[in-house]
Amino acid sequence: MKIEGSKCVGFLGPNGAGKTTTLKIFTDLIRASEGKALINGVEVHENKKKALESCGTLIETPEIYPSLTPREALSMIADIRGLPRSEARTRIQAAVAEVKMEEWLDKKVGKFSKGMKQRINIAAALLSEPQIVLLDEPTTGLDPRGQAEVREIVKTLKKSDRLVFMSSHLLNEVAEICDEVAIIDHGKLVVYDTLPNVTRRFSGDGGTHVIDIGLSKDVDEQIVGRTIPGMAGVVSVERLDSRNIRVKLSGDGDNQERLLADLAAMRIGMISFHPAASALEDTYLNLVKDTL
Amino acid sequence: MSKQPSALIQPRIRVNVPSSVSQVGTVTKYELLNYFRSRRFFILLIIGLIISGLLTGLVAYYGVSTLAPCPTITCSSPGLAFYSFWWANSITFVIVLSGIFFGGDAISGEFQNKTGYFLVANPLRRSSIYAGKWLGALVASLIVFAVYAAITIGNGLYYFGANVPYSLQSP
Repeated sequence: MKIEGSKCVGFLGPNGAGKTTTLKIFTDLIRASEGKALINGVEVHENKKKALESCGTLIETPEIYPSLTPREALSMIADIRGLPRSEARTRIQAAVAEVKMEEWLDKKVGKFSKGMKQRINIAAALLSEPQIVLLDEPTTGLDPRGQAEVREIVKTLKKSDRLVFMSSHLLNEVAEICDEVAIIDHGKLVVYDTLPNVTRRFSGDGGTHVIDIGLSKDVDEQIVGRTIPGMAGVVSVERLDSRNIRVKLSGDGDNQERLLADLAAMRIGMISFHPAASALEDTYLNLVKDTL
Repeated sequence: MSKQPSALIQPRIRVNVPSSVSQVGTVTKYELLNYFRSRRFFILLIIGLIISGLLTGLVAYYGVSTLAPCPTITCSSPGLAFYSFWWANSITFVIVLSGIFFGGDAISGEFQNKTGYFLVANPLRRSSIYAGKWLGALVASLIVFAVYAAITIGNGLYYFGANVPYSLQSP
């Protein structure tokens, strides 16, 4: 498996499949029994310092020394990574602001909830503005607002020329923010491809795509009932709620592109157009037969 | 969550990861900070002070000449014998306690409590973490030892003057 470029790759698999183990190998927390893990061409186990130089990591929801404050814990990471002192101060403020923990910057971590600690861990992973970000279930322990905030952070990261490799159990999260998906089962890579390709090949409806479309205004019944079903490749249209519709589409990517262009031209207030999480769920369930 | 690009993703900083020696210093510094704010450090400090206080109180109450029997025929000073006995045994006790308090779970505790994951998944060698943690534990233990030694040596100087080593060697 080789990942390159600026994108977000979701790493999925059942419990015990090897997701965290893979990420631990990439951070030299454990040694690979066979094979090699390379980051920017550098073998992690042989030269961990060089390999992780431009890599921010969040593995296994780490605990932070309870007697330290977030400022001290992040200063330790900044010192270890060689951030200049003045730059470190600015970066710590910015990172903590990004995870909405400014008020807690000088409070002891021992008093923090799991979600608050996870926010600090995310700030630590992003502190040195790494090119590559490895995240192991980053939304674990976070409340719904915290989960949404982390998703926004990841989306912002991939827009800024970075590679994000993220394991998760939340398929809707992966469907929302990831460009590519890798599914692992019993330690073997089952599939690695772009999200639309994976869902098209394995969602069980061979050759059909399920697209969720978000609108900024209420759905026009006329458009849902007549206009969209008449477009090329559209198999069915389902109204999810007043501002969201789901379209099942046959054929290749050209049909998707044409549908997107037609809907945009209709000026119906379309603000999002992405593969449905349920398509990824179908794919996942087809590829992963056992939970353990 | 701001929809605008945040300060976090401004142009990336070019950083050079410091040398392993420098990273050992960083780990030591924060390890010490953690110790100084921990109960175990203060408990050990209090144990050291109690032992020193007992020594001071006993000698002040009983006097150096009658405090302890002379262990050998050649011993000319029972007080000195008591001091040397006390020093040798209690300092061993303090050192062993320091080892248990600071060294016992220094590494295993990191992974049991998952604090290790915060540090290990960064660009630094495991040996730097081990060395930093060991140095931190050593310095914390030495501070407790230094407090105990200062009180004991102060007592010795008060009761025997500066010629204690010579007296210990004389028949």
